[in-house]
Amino acid sequence: MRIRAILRMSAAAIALAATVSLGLTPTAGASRFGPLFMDVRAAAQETLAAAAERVDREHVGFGRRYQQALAPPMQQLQQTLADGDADDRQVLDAATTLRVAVGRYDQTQAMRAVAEQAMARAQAMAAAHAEGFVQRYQHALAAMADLPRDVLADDDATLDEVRDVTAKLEAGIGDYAQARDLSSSVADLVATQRRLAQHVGGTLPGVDEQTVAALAELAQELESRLADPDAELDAVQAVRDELDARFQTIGQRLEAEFREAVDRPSPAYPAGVDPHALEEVDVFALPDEGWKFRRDRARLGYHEGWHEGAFDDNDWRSGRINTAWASFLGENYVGAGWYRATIRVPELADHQVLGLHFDGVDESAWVWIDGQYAGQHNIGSAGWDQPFQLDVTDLVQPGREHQITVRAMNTGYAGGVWQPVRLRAFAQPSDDAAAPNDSPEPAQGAVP
Amino acid sequence: MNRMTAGPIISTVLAVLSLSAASAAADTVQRLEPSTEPIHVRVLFESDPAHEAVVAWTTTAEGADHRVHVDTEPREGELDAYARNLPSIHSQPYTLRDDEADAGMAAWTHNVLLADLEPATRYYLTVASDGQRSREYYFITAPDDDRDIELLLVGDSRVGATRTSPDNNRRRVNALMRDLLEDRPNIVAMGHGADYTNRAHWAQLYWWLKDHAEMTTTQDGRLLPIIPARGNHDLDVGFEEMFWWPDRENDYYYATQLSAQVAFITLNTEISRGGDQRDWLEAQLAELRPRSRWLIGQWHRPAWPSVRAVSSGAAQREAWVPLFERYGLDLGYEAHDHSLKRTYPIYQGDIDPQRGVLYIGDGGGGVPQRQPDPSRWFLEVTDRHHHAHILRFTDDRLEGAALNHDGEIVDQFTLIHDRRNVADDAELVDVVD
Repeated sequence: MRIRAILRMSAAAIALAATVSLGLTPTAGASRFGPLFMDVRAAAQETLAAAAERVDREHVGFGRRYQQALAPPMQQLQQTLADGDADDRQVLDAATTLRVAVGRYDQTQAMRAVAEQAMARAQAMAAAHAEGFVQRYQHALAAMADLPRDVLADDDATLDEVRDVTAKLEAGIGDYAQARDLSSSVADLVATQRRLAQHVGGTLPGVDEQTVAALAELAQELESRLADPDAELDAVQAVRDELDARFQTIGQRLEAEFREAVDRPSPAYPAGVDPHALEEVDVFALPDEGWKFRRDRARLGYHEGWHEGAFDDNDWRSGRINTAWASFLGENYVGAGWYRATIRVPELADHQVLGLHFDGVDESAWVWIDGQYAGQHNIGSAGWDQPFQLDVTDLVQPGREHQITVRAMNTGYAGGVWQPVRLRAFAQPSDDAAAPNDSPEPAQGAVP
Repeated sequence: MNRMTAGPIISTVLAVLSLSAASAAADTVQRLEPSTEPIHVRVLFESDPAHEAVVAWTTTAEGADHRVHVDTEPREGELDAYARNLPSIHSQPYTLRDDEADAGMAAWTHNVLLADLEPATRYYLTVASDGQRSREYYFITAPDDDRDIELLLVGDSRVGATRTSPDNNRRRVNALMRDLLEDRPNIVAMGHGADYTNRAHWAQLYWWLKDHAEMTTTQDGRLLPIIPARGNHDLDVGFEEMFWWPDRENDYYYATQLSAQVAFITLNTEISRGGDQRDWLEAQLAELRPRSRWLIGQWHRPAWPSVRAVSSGAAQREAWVPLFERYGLDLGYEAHDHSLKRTYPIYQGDIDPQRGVLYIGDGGGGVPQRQPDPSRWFLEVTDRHHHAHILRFTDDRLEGAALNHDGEIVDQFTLIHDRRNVADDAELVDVVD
C-alpha cells in the first residue's frame, strides 16, 4: 500500500491560507486551535497563488528556466480544480507537481544567495595580506572569485551547474583558509621548538640534544616551505604535522610529570564545612575579556613557571573565556592551553567561604591564584560540560587584585574555558549560624 | 503566520509564565528534601499500548512500598476503592555523579507494568509510596480497532549546553502539547525523537521529568504517554533509568501498534544502523507493511539533515532508507539538527511524489534553533521554530501540522492513501549521497 501524493503549504503561504480557511467549515480536526489540518482544495489555491507570484517576478539569469517551468503545472492544476469530477487525490497530485516546481524555483534563489556569499568571501580573502606559500592559494582563489558570476547570469543555468561551480569556489576558499591557518600556527610551533632548545641539558624527560636538533631541522624546513611561494598545502601540512607529533610525544611525558606534581584533592568547600548549611550571599562574575592566552603544545608551561604569579606573559596573545578556543584561535586546538589574567575582586558581602565556580571547561582544568595551586577538574573527556567549584577561601581576598591562571586541556573537538566563571561567596544563614550542620538547604547551584 | 489561534496563544503564554514563576521560586536552587512523595508521574508505551503501559514516578527517599492503584472509573485518590493495586516491579536509585551526591541529591525511580489493559479505555490511577500519594491521574490506552487517531511528535527537548534549571522554550512546547491534549481525546501518545537533556545525568533529568509532568498533564489529570527514542545526548545510564521497560528485547528500537492500521517504528541511531537492527527493521517492515494502512517511524539523527552536512546522514541513508523505500514507509520523523524541516517525498535519491518517503522534524522541543539550509534539493520546508508536530491518521489520509510554541501553525501537509501495494514491485537500491 502506498501514498499517492503529498501537498504542502510553505510558511510564506500560511497567512493567506489561514485567511481562506476561515471561510471554510471546520474539519473534524478543528479545535480551539482552529483547523489544524489543511483543506486540500484551499491549499491548492494557495499553491497556485504562490506560483503566480513567482511567475510575475521580473527575472533574468539563473532561475529563469525554473520560473518558466512553472506554467505547465499551473495550467494542469487550474484544470483539475475546474473539473467538477476531480477528487482530492487528483487535486493533491496536480498541486504536488506544482509545489515541486515552485520549490525548484525557490531553490534557485537560495542557491544564488549561497553563490553570491561565496563570491563576496572569496573577494575579501583575495584582498587580504598574505605571504609565502599562502599567496599561491590566494592567487588561485582570486582567479576563481568570480567563477559563479557567468552562470548566475545565464537564463538556462541549472541548479546542478550553479551548485557545482559554487562548490568549486568554496573548495578554493577552504584551501586558502587552511593555508592561512597553517601559516599562522607555524610561528607558534617554531617558538615552541626554540623554548624546548633552552631546556637541553636540563631535567625534562625526552628533551635531549638529539631530539632538539631533529626538531630544529623540522622547524627550519617548515619555515623554508612556508616562505616558498610554490609550496603545496599538503607538503607544508605534512611537515607541520610531523613537528606537532614530536611535540605531542614529548608532551605526553611532561603531562604525566605535571599531573604527578600537582595532583591533589580539590574540594569545592573547606574541610569540615557542610555545604548544605551555606547559602550564596554574593557573586562576582570574572570578566570574559582581558585574558592572556598561550598554547602549550609540548607541555612546557608548568616547567617554565607559567602558573607563577609574577610570570611575564607580555608576549602572550589575547584570549577570552566564556567561549571555546576556536573563537579566538581559529581552530579547535587539541592540547594544553593557558589563560592568565590579573583581576580586581570587588568587596563582597560577609562570608565564610569563597568558591571559584566554573560552569564548563572543555575538558580538564588546573587553577592557580597568585601562583598558589587552587585545584583541578580532571575527570577526562567526560568533564567537558560538567560544572565544578574550587575552594579559594584562603586564596582570594575581596577588594584586592589577584592573578589567576587556568591551564585547560583538550583531547578532541572544541576546547577551552567555554562557559562563565564566577567567584561565589557563601555564608551560613544568620538564623542557624550557631548550628551550621543542622540546615538541610544547600547553597550549591541550580540542581535539585 | 496563522493568527487564528490568538486565544490559545495567550492562554498558553500566561500559563507558562505563571508556572515558570512558581517553579523559579520553588525549585531553582534547592535540594529536595528526602521524601516518598511521588513526583514525575508518567506513562510509557512500548509495543502494545492497547494492552500494556508502564507507570513510573520518582521519590527522593528510598521508601519500601511503592504501588499504583488503578481502575477504569475515577476513585478520587481513595486507594482502597481502586480495582487493582500493583507494586513496583522495578525500583532503583538514579545513578548520581559524585558532585550530585556531594550536593545531597538522591532519587529513586519506581516502575509498574500495567498489563491486560482494555483498548481505548481510560485508566485512572493514583501512585503511592509509603502512604504518600499523588493526585489522581488518568491515561487512555491505544485502540485496537481502525478508528481515527492522532500522535504528537517532538524532538530535542533538551535545553542549552549545561543549564539544568526550568527552561521556558521546552515548557512552552510542553504547554502546547498539553493544550492539544486537553481537546483531543484521540491523541494516543507523544513520540519523542530523542535528546531530552544535554547529558542523562540526574540534575538534568530531574528538570526534564518535572517539565514533562507539570506541563503536559491536563488540568483534569490526563497524562501524555511517551514513546521514546534514544539520541546522542542520551547515552548515559540515566536515560535507561528514566525510560525503563521490563525485559527490553532490543536496545531502544521497537515497533508500536498505535491502532489496528497504524504502526510506529522507533529506531536507535546511536548504535550500528546495520547488523541486528537493520535485520530487525527489515523484518518489521515486511511484517507491518501489508497489515498497516499507515507505517511511520522515528529516530534521532536524520537521514536528510537540514543543518549539518548532508554527509552526516549517510549511515541512515545507506542502511535504512533503501528499506523504507522498498517497503513504503509513509513518514519518518527525525531530529538532531535543531530546526523545522519537511522534505519532499524522496525515492532513490530524487523527488518522487508518487513513491517517495516524507521526512519531517529536525528537533524543536526546546533546544536553541539553528539556521537550516534551504538550498538543499530534498528540503521543501525549512524554518526555525520551537515546535511540535501533530499527525492525524484516518481511513484515507495522514494529515500533519507543525505548531510553534505560540500555537501558530507553521507547516501543514497531507498524504492520501491509495491502497496500492508497492512492496511487490519495488527494487531495493542503494541511495548514494
